[in-house]
Amino acid sequence: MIVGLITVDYRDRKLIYEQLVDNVKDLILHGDLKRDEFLPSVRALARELGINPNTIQKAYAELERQGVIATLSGRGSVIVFDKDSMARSAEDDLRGEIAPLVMRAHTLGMTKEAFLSLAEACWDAAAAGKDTDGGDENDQN
Amino acid sequence: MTAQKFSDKRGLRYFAFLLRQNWPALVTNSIVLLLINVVIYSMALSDLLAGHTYIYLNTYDRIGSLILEYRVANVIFAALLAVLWGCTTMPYLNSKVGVNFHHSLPLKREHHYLYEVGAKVLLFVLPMGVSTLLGYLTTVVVAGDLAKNTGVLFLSVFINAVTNFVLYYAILIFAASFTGTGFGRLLTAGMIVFMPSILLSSLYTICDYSARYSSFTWITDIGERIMLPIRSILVAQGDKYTNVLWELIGAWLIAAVFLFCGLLIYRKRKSELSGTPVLSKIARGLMKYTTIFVAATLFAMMMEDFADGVVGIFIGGAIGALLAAMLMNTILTKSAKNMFAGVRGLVISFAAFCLIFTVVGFDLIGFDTYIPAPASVRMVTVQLGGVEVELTDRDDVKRVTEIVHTYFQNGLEENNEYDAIRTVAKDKYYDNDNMTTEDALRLDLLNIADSMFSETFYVRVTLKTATGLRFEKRYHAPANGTHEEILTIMANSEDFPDAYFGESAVYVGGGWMETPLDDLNYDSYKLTETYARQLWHDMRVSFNGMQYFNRPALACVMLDGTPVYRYPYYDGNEDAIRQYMKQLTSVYVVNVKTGEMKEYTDSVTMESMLRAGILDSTTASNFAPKDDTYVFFGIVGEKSNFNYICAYFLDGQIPAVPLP
Amino acid sequence: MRPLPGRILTEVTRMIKIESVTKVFTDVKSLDRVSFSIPSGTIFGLIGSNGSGKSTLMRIMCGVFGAEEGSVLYDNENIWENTKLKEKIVYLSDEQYFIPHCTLADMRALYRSLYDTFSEEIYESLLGTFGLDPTRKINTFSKGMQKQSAVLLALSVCPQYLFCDETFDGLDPVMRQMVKKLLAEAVADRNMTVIIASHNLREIEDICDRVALLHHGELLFNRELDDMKLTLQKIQAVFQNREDADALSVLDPLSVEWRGSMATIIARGTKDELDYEMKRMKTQFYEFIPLTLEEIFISEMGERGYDCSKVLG
Repeated sequence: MIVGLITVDYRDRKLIYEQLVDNVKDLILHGDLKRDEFLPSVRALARELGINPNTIQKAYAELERQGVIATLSGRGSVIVFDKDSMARSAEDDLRGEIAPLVMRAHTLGMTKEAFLSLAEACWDAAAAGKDTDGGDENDQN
Repeated sequence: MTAQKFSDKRGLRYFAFLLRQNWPALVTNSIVLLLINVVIYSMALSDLLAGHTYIYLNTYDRIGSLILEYRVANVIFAALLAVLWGCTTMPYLNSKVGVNFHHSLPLKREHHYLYEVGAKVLLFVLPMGVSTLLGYLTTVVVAGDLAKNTGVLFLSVFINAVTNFVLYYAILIFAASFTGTGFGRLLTAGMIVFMPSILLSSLYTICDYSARYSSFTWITDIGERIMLPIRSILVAQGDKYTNVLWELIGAWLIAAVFLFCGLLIYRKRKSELSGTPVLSKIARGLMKYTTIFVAATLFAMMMEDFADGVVGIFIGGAIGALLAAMLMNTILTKSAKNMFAGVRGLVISFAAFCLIFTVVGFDLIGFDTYIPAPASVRMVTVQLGGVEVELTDRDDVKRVTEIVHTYFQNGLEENNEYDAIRTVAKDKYYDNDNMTTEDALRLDLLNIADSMFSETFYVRVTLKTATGLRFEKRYHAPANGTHEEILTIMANSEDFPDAYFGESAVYVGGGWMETPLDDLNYDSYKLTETYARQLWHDMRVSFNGMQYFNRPALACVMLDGTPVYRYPYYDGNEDAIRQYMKQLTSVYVVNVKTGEMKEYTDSVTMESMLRAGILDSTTASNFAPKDDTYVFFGIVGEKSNFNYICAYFLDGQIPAVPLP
Repeated sequence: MRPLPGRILTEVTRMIKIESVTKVFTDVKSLDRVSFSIPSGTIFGLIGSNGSGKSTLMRIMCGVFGAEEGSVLYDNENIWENTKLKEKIVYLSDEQYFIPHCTLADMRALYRSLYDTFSEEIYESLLGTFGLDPTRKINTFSKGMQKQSAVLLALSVCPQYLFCDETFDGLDPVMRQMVKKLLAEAVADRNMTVIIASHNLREIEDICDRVALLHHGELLFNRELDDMKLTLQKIQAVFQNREDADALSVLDPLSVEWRGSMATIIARGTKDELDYEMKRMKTQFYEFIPLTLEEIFISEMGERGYDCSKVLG
């Protein structure tokens, strides 16, 4: 049930519609949602999650704006991105996020080597965790 | 247009919902009414039909009277039920939450009001109609022919009951719109119904306090007139339809006014005030200050006995006012904390009470002994000697007023001297030679009014001025010259014979009963009486009146032939009788069956006829009017102002017996 | 600045307009020229402390009583004594009222008689969901069950406009979630407009898309929730030197609080805008923290000079 895949975390301070957008994108990334599949209707999702349908509308509109889904009148919203294109998009986002991180490290006075070795350590840990947990996404912060 | 129709449909559905919702009320109401109007009634009816007949009222009339009793019962039930349902209608008025709920519904406020009120009215009217109809049918089944015309009576039961229900219900709904809360509703309605009368009673008490001579009964009369509960029951008791009709119309008008005002207030109601007792300051003030006044009067009277007169009154008044203020404050604000609020108002109202009491109660203005100037009085009613006469002749009025006025001006002396005429009259009672019919009349008046040996007259006079003011005074006057004159004026007035002899009365089976002439049963006894009364209307004579000493007559002869004398003096005293008869001016003879009347003025004939009748009449046990049965009436004086002797001949012709 | 993704309006310009509503209760002004509008299909949150006038406003909006001045219009139709409009409205007050000694079945009969849109299917299904006995007298229910009954009846009516006055208060978390789901479904289904009055910001935050704040009868603001969250940011930044923090003035912050060398700044603007500025400052470290509704309010109120402890009760 696709509807059951999508969740929101109320304790998360991120805006709900942003959570939904990220949630859908993650599901595509992990292959839980495939290209050409239809997203649940606003109504169904609203009922399932008990959240404002307008919020869901907003999320779908944002997803559409980002090109992740397309709305076909009378039929619903269909997923346009596949796993790869999603990954690529995510990587683009990540790129944008790395720059300020590096900047911060630099400002703190970290050396390039220290930063890289730190990055490597984190990468190894993430890789190890991925193997054992079988594909769970790790949230930081 | 469609929108309008649409909303009406919704309203009607809501109305239907209300009716269904209130089915327990319908059921209990129906059961009680059926119990009263069918079950218990049919038992009473059967009882009546099976029981022995009373002489004075035939069965048909008694059935009517029974139904009238049930009319009263139904009216009382209707009033009580109206009060109960009035308190429980629109229960949501009691709570903010309730009002929020109801007024957020898609139903106009007027419709809310109308449907709630209408539902309850319908729930009363339907069982009422059914039960009265069944009552009528029961009568038809049980009493058969005798039930004719009872349909109208049952209709009147229905109309009376419904009218009273609507009236009381309207008052309570009006109170509900005003106050909302259950108890507040009852209080307000109670105040509306009872307070005017109670207030008038208090006023009466104060007026009456030091009124030695004045009578203020007109105040309590008004109070009774507007006392709705009593009125409605009295109206239900009455059986004169035209009077009742006006009362009913009046009741419906009053009810309509209350309901309409209730609707207006309901629409204007601010829901946030639901739950608090009284809506408007004015109403609150009215309730509070009338209660204070009444309580002050009550306690003043109580303390007056206890402490020294005047002091007791003011202390009592103060206590009453204070307690009432505390009580009303608590009730009206629903909290004991505000018991002592409104001190200024309390002080002002107590001051007003003191003022009123001082001025009116202690009669500082001298109202008690005030008699208006003779010129300004248009009509006088005098009660003297047990007879009340209305004097309209201008001279009479003037003279009587003057006499009373003078009497009051001279300080209302209570004179215990033995009255001259009284002495004479008393003496003449035993005076064989000097007793005249005038004396007899005079003695009549004196004897009936007072005891045989009283030395004063009890006088009650009502003076009505041109401006419509009434002054009632009652006092004892010494039996001296001035009031003697009033007696004469009374005896000579136009109203006197009617007042003195009263209306046609028939003495039946042990008691007096007023019956219109046409309704009389024409059995043998009454036939004679009918003619006698016919004549009386012409001649103002009554056999029965004479028999009970209300009419001056020498004697009359009972049906069984025994003569009855007015004064023992005449019993067996032929000379006295003859003396008396010498004063006759004419004798009228009436044929009982045909009514044909003849007058005889020849003194010898007269005397012989009457003599024979009085002294020689024979006994007959079963009196049956024959073609030649006659009634004889002896007249003294003019036709318009007379005394009489009356006698019956049982049968036979007019004798022409010469005197010995 | 990225434009806020708009809601797709199924119906254009349908709304409830509150125009300059003033309400006076015997010398106390409960509402003072309150004006705002609520678009159809919104889940609208009305916030304020006790005595702020939100219940009064709700009741005026439901036509329970009228205002001294001003009016409430639904698509330009005045609500006052307008039974046609009221047929589309259900008011769930904080305290429930039922006809005395009635059962749910009786209340159903009442609603059915007055509302043509009453749905038997929804009523029956909700009875099962909530597990309530329609033949039992409602006054024997617990308070929570009574609340459920009220919600059940309201939802069965399928109103176009639902007014919830502190409705979520008496419900347990499970029930709360269920009610939210039902509301959400109804909004999605037929574009129902929900107006929720509460002083619990947490509840409002979850489900409302617009909020308005009432304080002492005055409307302090009326904005889209997401919009508020996106245009007010909380930044935690560490400055090595205090003087460096002077640069913060360029943000025109609503508040700056210090704990040691860490500053907590609340300022207006989108994340991008402020990020652009923060980058240019000499910070050791900074990050954006999303604000809760409560924090937003406190800041907004603080800016207007109100002491928030009084506002939020």
